[in-house]
Amino acid sequence: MSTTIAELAAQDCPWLMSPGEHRGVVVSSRIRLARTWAPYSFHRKLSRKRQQELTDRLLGHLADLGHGTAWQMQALSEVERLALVERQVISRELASAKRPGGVWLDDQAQPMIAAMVNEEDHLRLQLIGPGLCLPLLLQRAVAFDQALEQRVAWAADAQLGYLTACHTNLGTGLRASVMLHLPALSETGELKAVLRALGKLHLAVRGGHGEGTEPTGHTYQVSNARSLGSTEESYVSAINDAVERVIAAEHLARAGLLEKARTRLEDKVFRSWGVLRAARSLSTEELSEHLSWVRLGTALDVLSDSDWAIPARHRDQRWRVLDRLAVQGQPAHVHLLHAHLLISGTVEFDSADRDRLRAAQVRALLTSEG
Amino acid sequence: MPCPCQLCPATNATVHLTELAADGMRSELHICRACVVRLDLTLDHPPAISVLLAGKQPAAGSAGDSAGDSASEEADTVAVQAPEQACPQCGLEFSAYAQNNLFGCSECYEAFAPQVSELVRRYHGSLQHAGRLPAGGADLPAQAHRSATRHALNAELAEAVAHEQYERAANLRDQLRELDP
Repeated sequence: MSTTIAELAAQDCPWLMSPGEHRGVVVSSRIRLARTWAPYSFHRKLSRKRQQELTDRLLGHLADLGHGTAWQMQALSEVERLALVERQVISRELASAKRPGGVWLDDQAQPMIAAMVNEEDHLRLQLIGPGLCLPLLLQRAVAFDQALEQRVAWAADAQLGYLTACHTNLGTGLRASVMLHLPALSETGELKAVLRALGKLHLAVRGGHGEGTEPTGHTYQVSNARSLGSTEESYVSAINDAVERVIAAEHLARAGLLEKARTRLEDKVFRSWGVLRAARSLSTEELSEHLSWVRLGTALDVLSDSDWAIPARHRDQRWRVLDRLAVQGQPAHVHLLHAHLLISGTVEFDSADRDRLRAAQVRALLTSEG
Repeated sequence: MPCPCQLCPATNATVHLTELAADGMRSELHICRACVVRLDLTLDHPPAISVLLAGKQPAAGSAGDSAGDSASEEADTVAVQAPEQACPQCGLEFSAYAQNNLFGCSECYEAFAPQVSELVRRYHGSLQHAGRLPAGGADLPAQAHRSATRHALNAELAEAVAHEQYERAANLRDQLRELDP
């Protein structure tokens, strides 16, 4: 169990590891349940003192139920908060909030289980697992929520279901999402039609880091837009069915690229492979873009055994290296992994330093390969 | 389900504006046809919802606001400042909800039941929850969260008294008094 965010940042992030299933198209799945505690007003009408009381009490109940670690948000530095965002443990909204709040994380649980306290709602429980695993996540989330319900009276109504701060989360309070890597659909221009079809099914598509984020490195998050009127299982099943169709479309587009545009594909993959193994300065955006093509090249065996030093029989190890770079190459992680290099008296690296450190980190991992 | 106009006290809203900010935050405003005419709104390019809620006269494509008709501006201000329904539990007014889609407490759902029904029907396409409820919740009648809240508050009150947290106990007693008998 990690007790500091720096310790956490130094570790792999098992819940964001592609298992190789679906040849790297699916990165991870997530279930989120939004809950509010009946006696407390929502944060916009709750005094700071009561917000702190709510946070302490909910973190206390969470600690009693699991083996996780709890942090008060005020105790975390800005870079520590960002590292939790980069690991998808908390939202950007909670990270930037100035009010009392907390985070609880059991990173050893499989799937990972975490809770945000006093974000938009009093509690947002979330479970993330690698690959396509929504039914398992829902089952575990419901079991954990039922244990919490023995201690906490969630605000609920027979007609409106669980009551949340915003009407868009009413009912089940469920947001089920799957993070997908869709470079071929993006490259062939077919993605727009796929996104339109998902919209008609009342599914939302966002950037890889959820609400308000732009897609980077061809990563998209597909989730249910509606949460009231159907059962939790129906929402999960609808997303699963839709995602299976998107995965099939991505595979078709990949096959099309191999057949009709192999040289262009190889050129993109090998240019990116070269940049990642040789660059002396890499921004977050560059890493994300090049990593996307290297992931595609690895999935399609465009990058072969002669390119990767890791033999094909250890294919999962290749994905592990790429997934580690995707997580640990983000700004807060680069900072925390190199904090010992900070000159005495300075508290953060400037962006040029971070880009240099990121490039060195990527080179080291791709040339020694894990 | 009728949805009251948010800019005047009486009429039903038939025009529904939705605004999506750059950070993904949605704002909604429900107004009647009379207010559309009164404020001379162009629905293809409506002014910002925050401008309408603040009771300001929209610019209506003109930069010459200083030469505006002061009598009509006064009339608009009076209409906008008409007493608005507030949640008895937390004091939130519905126009404040429309600014950032965040209610003040779970009681707001009962206080603004007509508006909530319209919002929920339009967003979720349904008005009836079909999923899980808290343990024992499947037998709850509609609007039973009020009694669930009372039960939870009583439990909290007993705990506060047992721990000699008198300030918290007084606060909880106030909240209990505010619930219907």
